[in-house]
Amino acid sequence: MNAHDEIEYITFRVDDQLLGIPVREVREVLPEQPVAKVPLAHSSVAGLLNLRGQIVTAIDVRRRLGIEPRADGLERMNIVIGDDGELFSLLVDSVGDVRKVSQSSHAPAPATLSEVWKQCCSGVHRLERGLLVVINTESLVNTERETSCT
Amino acid sequence: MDDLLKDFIIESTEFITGIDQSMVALEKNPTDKDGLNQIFRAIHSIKGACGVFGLSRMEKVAHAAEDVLAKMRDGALPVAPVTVGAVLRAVDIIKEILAGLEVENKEPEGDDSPTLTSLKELLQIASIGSAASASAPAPAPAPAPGADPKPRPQGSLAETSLRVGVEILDSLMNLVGELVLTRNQLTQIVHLDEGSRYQTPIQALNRITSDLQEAVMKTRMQPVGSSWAKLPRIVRDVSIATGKSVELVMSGAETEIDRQILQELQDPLTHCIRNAIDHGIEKPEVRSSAGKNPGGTVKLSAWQEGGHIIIEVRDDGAGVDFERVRRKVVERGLAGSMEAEKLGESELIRFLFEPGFSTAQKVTEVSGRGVGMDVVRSNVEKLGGTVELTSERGKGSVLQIHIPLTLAIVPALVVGVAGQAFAIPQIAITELVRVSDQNRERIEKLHGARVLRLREQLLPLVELRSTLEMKPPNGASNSSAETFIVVTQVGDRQVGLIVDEVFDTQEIVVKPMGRLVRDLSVYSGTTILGDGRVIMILDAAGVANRARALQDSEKSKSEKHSSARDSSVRASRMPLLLFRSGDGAPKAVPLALVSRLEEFPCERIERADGRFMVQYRDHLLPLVPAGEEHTLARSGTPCPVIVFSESAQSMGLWVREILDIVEGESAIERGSGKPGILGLTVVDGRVTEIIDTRYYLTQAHPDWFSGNRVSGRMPASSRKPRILFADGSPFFRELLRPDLEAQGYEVCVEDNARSALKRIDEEGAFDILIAGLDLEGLEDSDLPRRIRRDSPSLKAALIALTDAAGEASAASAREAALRAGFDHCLNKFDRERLMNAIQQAMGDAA
Repeated sequence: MNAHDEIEYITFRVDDQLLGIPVREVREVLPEQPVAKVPLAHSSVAGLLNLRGQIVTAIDVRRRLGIEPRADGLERMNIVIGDDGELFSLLVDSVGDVRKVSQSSHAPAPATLSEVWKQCCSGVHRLERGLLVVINTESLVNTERETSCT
Repeated sequence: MDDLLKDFIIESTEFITGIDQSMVALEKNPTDKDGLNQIFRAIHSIKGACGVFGLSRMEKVAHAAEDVLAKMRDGALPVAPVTVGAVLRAVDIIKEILAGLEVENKEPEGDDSPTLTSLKELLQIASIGSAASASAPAPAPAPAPGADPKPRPQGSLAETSLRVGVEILDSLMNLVGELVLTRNQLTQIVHLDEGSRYQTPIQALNRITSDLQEAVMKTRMQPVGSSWAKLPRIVRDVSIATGKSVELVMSGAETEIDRQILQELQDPLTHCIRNAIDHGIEKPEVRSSAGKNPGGTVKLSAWQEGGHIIIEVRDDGAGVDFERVRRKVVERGLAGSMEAEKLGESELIRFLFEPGFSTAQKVTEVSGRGVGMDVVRSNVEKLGGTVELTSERGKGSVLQIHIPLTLAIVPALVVGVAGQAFAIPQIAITELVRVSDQNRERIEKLHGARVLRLREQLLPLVELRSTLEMKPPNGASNSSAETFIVVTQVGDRQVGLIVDEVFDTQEIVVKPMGRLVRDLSVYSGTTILGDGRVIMILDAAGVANRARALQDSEKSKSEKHSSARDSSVRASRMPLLLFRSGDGAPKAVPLALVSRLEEFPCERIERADGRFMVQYRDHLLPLVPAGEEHTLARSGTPCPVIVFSESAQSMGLWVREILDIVEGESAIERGSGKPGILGLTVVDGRVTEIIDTRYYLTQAHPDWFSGNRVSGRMPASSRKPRILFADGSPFFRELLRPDLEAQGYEVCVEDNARSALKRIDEEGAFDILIAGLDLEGLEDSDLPRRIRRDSPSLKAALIALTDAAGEASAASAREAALRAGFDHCLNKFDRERLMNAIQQAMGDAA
């Protein structure tokens, strides 16, 4: 891929931070779904949901990234991603549009990020207004590697 | 992997499996030219393909085997164990290479020279032989062409069957599972809408879905015979190794069963067959002298019965030696000798499935290591099946494995805990108990409500809500009048799971757990209900283990609290039953001594001659008030009673209130010497009195501890038998010593192994050693062997005592004790078995 190429991201917000996932990783976006809680599961596992007969593990992205739960209790959105044949759904505050971003605006993740963020973030894009943090979905759905987050 | 190579591996594996079977058949029927030709062709094609793929190691072996087979075909070499054996060894090497190829994509390294040499030697013999065979009698004439009545159907199968990858079948199965779920949802919607015009098509959909489900299920079915191919070879090898002559007869090989189940059954079944030959079939000379055919038969059959497949291994061997099992049961301390006498055959058979139990007199290479039958049972139970063994002395044994047809869809009970639904597979459930305020006599309202009195048993209960760390949803209260207890079978034990609601039973499609939740052992999978809800399937064993782990961790927490008090005392702990008696302060009694908890209405308690008793199961149960219960009791109130029993005698300790079962330190300090109080221990940070059960027992039956009940069995010896009793716990020393003395033994007490040895040096021989398995210094000392050496007149009995509770820890304690040189290992509080073991030792010596 050369530097002039553009990458498409689905953008979403968690705690007012603009985040993005490459479009090719996303299967679909759904409104809030009923979730079956899994007692004793890791705190970032919000539960399981039924996507047309397939069981999807829902991940509470706020908890995963060590952010307080939302106070306003508004509905959350599901971003369904596929990983190794298994489906995960990321519970986020809101989903924005698809953004094309030039590869040249990519920068590595700032060294000052917290440990959890560093694990789950594969870099940032400098946009006209603010930063787009690129989420590494593979690390996000891997709760074993992370050390602390509640 | 290269597709071509993959095909080669699949094809060659099939060939090779066929050869294994055909070689053994050939050995039995050496004139079967067709069989020999078939084997020859199979090896030949493998050899040919080796060149294409550059597999030089396999080519060499196949080539040598082919040469020998050619000579056998030409009659230059006989079909005999030595030639067949050599070819089979070559087949083994080819198998090994194929397996390696599949994993690493290249030939594994290995030294084949012994096999190659033996094959070459055979060839040399053949060339010498052919020179000499001019004078030898001609081999038996080959059957005339066309004499074989069964023409082999060749090629016909290939036209009607296809090779399909297993992953495609698995995904088909998944899709059908989902279709079933969708159909269920649809049916539910239409069900609410009477007279809907969708009714008819939905009914059709219903039927078609069921048919489709069945058809797809069938694609996953494999004939059981496909996993039997290896067995003739194993039987041949095992019978040669054990010097027996055994024929394996197989029937019902075409019976079909789910592929996954078949795979999981492979090892248990192989083990059962080995067992039948090694333990069941007798040596030819033994058989002949018993009037049997010198060659034994092992019959393996399979058939379908309802939704189950039954696989049976039947041998015509010696059958189970029940007397030997009985002796073994006593030796292992699994039952007292009197108790063991009463055990029936079916009960004795149960012990054969216990871990570490083997009646084989010696450990052979084939079996008898005591691992096996328990593994067979647990593997089969994991599949939702059962194992049954019946046996008749001298006639043989029959082992039956019952297995469900398929695993993917299981009936389950849907229950509610803290407002959330869970499924529990029916196969794990033995019964359902509803506990309401009206029948609360069935549940012991102990502090944490942890024991259910179910018929004669105290059933441990697990509160799902707390075990799963669930909080009730807002508003819902804990005060509902009803609780449900789902009684589940966890291995040998039963555990009651406390749930809030019971909904209904459903056929559920088990779906695997996602990888983030897969490690949670309390669940065995997930499923989607008819209404689309996702729910978790509970694993009863996992839940019970977690509940136990939670208890242990609480225990270690409280241990930390108390360790400051006296760090030198090793905090060994025992379960205590906590109760309140007349004067208010909680008291405790070791739970191991308690046989039952009862409640009697006050009116039923009778008073005669200053004593109390109650009609109880056609007997009069003497009651002793622990405090001033008889003056406090009001009519109409229930009177809680702790029952102690032994042999045929029972007594009830009448208390005011039963509080809880707790862990207390077994290190007990002597108390003030108050009658009825043995000492003090710390429970939850509070000093608690431990009652002296002996005091109350003798109040009810003055002769309880006197020797007269056993004196008849005491050897009429001129000197008192001497017992050396070493245990670290002062409480226990005090409990047992007077008891032993009352039975007429001379008892010396020590609290560690070193001083016990010193005692032997100073005072000479002892007849019996009773020692706590956790005795200080026991491991480094040679105490048991030392006693045995010094014991001149008697066969010394060496008895280890343990407070290990639970099947697994008791078994490992037993193992440790036997390793240390003890004869027996018994539970500390099992007085009856201990006395039996002592009596038996004295009896043996007399």
